[in-house]
Amino acid sequence: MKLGMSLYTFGADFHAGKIDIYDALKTCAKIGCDGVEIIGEQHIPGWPNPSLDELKRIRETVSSLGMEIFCFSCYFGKNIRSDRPQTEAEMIQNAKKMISVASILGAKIMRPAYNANPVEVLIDYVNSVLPTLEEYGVIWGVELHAPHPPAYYLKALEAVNSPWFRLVPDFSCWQGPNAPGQIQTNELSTFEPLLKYTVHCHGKAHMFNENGEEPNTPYKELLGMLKDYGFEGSVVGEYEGWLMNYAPSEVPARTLFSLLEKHGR
Amino acid sequence: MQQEAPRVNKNQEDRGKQGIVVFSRVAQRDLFANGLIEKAEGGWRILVRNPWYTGTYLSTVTFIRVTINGHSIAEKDTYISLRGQLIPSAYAKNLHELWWGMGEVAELFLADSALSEALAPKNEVKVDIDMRTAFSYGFPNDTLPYRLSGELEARL
Repeated sequence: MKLGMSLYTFGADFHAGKIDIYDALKTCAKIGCDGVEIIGEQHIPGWPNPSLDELKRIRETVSSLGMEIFCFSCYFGKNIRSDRPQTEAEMIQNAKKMISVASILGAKIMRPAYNANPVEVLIDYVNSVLPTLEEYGVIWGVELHAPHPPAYYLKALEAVNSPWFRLVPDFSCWQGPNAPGQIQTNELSTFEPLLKYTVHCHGKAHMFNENGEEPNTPYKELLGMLKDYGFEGSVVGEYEGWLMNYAPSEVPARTLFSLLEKHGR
Repeated sequence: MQQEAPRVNKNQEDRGKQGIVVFSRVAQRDLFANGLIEKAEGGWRILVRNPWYTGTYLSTVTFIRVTINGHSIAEKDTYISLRGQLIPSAYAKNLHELWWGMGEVAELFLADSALSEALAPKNEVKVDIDMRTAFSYGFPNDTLPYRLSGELEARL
């Protein structure tokens, strides 16, 4: 499997205005990442209408650093306006725009953050843009993330049943009960039926112990399951501890990437 | 602002409460861009960073209130300026076309003639920002109530 870093990990320094995307990309290359995940709403200058030149510059910078963009992330918000929710047509139009951004960046996977309930809303939404995903060669990677359990995603994946709709498990799904944001701990066995749909993973981390392990997340077991399965996709570190405490982003990025290499190579 | 997050979440409501505490931490850390209340033409200004953990549409800002040394600035006297566009804070919620980038510095312009008398060399400043989330994070009314504060130096 390929290993890398989500630029989300660098949130402390992005939020404080200390770095830009190009600084973060150089750091990722320096610590040995095979690739990165980029989030439009956090990292791309000129968002939500970035210039073609900017997108090309990002793509070419990543390539020149010997990396690839594993995944382009974005947010599919429904409550953007104060007077009304986004219409179905507006949601579809935005999804198509994001698919084209992913394509220009050279990312094969797009992970939209989108919280739909019931799951049929998600299924209908994905089906409405399947032809566009196929046309641009971009996979909608739905993120397995709280508050929904694995069964929610299995239902959607089986219903859509397309190679252009696949899964991005976030390791927080299997974190222990003391992890921030955790509602319920899922058994590791719930990962098994999801493996065949998995194209990319978020190695979630909130903290590290003195051995560089994430105390609430079973990295060894999860990465072991991926290796045993013969997973050929990508796993990126996604450090979220920056929301609570500041540390120079390169520090947790290095620790987390070492953890991924320790159990994932 | 210093309240402890629930250690273990039992449901989505608990998760929402924890989220407010967690998201408020980074907002508090980075809000004040230069630690100053500066004299400007027709009023005073404070430079603030977008508190949310990503960029967001300005329309998600549904309420802003600035209080300095206990003196609350009226909504009609409170403006937000992004990239040189000065907007009455009450209108911000209508402007879904304007993007407030992650960590981007905006100017809070305070056109309150009584503020000068309330200012001291160092000032206790509270900034309340209600920010709607673009989809549900489990916060009540899908709104994150930032209640942030700091000590700012007045500069004439």
